[in-house]
Amino acid sequence: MSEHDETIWRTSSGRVGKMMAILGGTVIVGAIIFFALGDYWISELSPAGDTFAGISDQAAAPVVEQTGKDIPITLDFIESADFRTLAFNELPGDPGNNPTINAKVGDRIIFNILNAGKSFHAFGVTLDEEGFGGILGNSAVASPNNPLKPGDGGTSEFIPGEPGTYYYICTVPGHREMGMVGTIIVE
Amino acid sequence: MVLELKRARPVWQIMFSTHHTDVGLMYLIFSILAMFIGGAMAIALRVELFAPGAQLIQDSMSYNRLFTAHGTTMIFLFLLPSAAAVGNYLVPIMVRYKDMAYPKLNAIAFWMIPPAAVLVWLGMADFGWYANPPYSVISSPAPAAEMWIFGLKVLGVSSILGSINFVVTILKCKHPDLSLGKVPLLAWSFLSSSIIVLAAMPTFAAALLMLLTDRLGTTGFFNPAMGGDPIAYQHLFWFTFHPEVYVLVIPAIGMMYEIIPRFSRRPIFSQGSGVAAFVILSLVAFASWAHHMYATGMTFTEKTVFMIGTLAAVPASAMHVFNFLATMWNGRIKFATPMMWAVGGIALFFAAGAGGVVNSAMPLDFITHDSYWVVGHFHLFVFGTIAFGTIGFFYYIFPYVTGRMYNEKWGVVHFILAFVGACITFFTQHILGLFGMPRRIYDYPEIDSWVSMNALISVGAMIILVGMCIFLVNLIYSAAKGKPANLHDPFGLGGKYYYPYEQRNPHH
Amino acid sequence: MAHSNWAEWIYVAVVIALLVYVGAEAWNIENLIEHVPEDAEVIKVTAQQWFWSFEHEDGTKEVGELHLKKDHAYKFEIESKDVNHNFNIHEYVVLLDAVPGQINTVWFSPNEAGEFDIQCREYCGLIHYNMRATLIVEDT
Repeated sequence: MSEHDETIWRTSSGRVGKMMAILGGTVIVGAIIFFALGDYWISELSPAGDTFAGISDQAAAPVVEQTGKDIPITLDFIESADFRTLAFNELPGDPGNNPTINAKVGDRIIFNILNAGKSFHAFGVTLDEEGFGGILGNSAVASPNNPLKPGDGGTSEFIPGEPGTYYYICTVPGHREMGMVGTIIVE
Repeated sequence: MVLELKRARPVWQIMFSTHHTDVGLMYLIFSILAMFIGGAMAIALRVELFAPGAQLIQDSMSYNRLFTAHGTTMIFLFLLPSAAAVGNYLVPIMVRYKDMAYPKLNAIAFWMIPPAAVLVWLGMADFGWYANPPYSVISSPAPAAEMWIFGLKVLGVSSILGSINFVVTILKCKHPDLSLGKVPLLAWSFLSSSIIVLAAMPTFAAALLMLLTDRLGTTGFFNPAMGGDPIAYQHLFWFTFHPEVYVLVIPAIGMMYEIIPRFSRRPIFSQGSGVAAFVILSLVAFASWAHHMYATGMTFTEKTVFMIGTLAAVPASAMHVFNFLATMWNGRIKFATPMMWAVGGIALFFAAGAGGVVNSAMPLDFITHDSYWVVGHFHLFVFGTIAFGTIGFFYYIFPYVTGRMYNEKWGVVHFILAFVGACITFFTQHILGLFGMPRRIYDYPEIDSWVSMNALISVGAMIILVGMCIFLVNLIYSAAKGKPANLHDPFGLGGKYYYPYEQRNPHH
Repeated sequence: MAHSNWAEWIYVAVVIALLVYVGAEAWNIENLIEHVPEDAEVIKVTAQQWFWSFEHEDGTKEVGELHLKKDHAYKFEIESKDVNHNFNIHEYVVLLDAVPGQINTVWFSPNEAGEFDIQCREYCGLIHYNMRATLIVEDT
């Protein structure tokens, strides 16, 4: 067998080494990009998803000026041990469960939100009587797709421009039905 | 054209090359890289599932993205490219032609894969490798989902281009003195799998496009809110991917057809049976797709039709097993590393198929559907059969590619760890499924049987990990410093058995 | 062929016979299972991300729990409000997808009193792993 035929299959370790270095370097650079941008990759919902959740990108409601007082309130997301019942601050039956907020038009309600549970939650104020859509103004803290992890928190505020009954809810689908809803009565 | 050993070629020359051995080498290196990346993801998943509660992964979204990436990586970025690597190296030589039929197209088909991989890995979508709607349309976050869709589009095109190349090379470029029936079974396996890809892949390409336009809100193919039917996607998806699993398995069986006769020092029991089995399998593969959908609310008649279609593919696979065993019967078997992997692969192939027959029986599927039984079943196929065949074949061609021998002892250790680990991991998963644990779950309640089995499975996965690390070290060290191999008979089989590179090829 | 392969033909025949048996037996049993008794009480099951709710024939609603009676036949009409789920009572081999836009039906008759797990068996997102409920079967 000539030298010519025998060398058909071989490759040299130096070549393979260089290719591995190129590949390894690319993987590391990719990993840096991935982690540096963090949650960007999962930060939005598809347009069809937005429609389904009732989130539209029409212009935000006209900014309501604060003409009344500040009403700060702390709301903690809590869960029952079997995860069947969810609530704000206390479980149903205990005083302080899902506190009702009374306000006047033009008051500024400042929400201090904390996820004191083991699951994921997000917050918002809506006029809708059921479901997780229709979140008003800047009242949202996190979102169902990028929720508050246990221990995370945030603040938001809400200035009602019209009297009526508003609801503060956990915007993760299903959580309102499991108990995470309270009322804001605005006169 | 000929790889000159006296001075290593610059890497850029290999990367721009269109020669089938260079493209094959690039596929090989990429697929091994993807295997380890996918494997690392699997280890992360198994560490998390070792016990209830959060261990390594702190939230379910990251877990969901990891299992999606694991499945997508292993199937599209490891198994398909590794088959393409072997095919590119050997098919032109087996049909006695100078290169693939379309060398530039070949290189393009390879180079589409790394950008697609980048799209998939950077986005890390979370909907499982099936991307079932409506979840993938209305609930899965962007831009990860779109990146996955685009990445898979590109991978599908790459697959189709590669398949065109194989079919034309084998059917049109083979040497005039070589009849199709005498073409080696490994080449037949690439012919079969390539024809399946050409028939099946366009359906998934359509489904991906529909999924994308659905996500954009323009169409409502799979979105009930717009009048669509989510089950339609599943039909399209499985019409491609049931045949696609045969695309994955058939080349691995072809690789076993290279190893087993040589290391048994006997000719293949029946070339005709092998060809017939490949052809039958390719056809019947298309008759069984909705066995993945028994639980979607199909009528009794529909389920029966697909059950029959599924069972009809079993005799063809059984013919291959018979062929292997009959070839080994009365042979002077040399249990070198490649042979161990091939025989271990046959054993696990048989076990996987037996479990599959259970799934195809309509009432039994309602016990096993979407549970860990299914996970164990398909891993016995993809790892136990395909990866075993592929890794065994990598050991087999190692001396031809590098000119050196890998370390045989460590190859045996790798096999034992992988085989024992696979049995512990995947057989236990079957039982775990019978106890009801669903798949794709980040955490599980403290049910005693689940806890102990999950711990055992994670231990099995660690055993496989150790084996794979040994493999990596063996590959790198032996490629650099291994003993130079006797290229006429690297495995010491006796010399009169035909090795592919000795094929009389007038063009080389 | 240079050699006879009668052994292969016998082997394939045995494999086919086994598969025909499996197929026929499966056909038989599935036929029996799919026959819903006339007196089965209908329970509407609604799946949504990420919990189960139920409605009995008389209008009683339950969330996260389902109270049924032993040795009664029940027919579940399963629907979903958002994405695919799968209603699964593993210990009674009740398993069927909840697909939005259609209603899937499966029946069973619990023959043992006690508490059983209801779980979701189709990936549906963030809290799929904890989409569980309890079936409580009471002695009559």
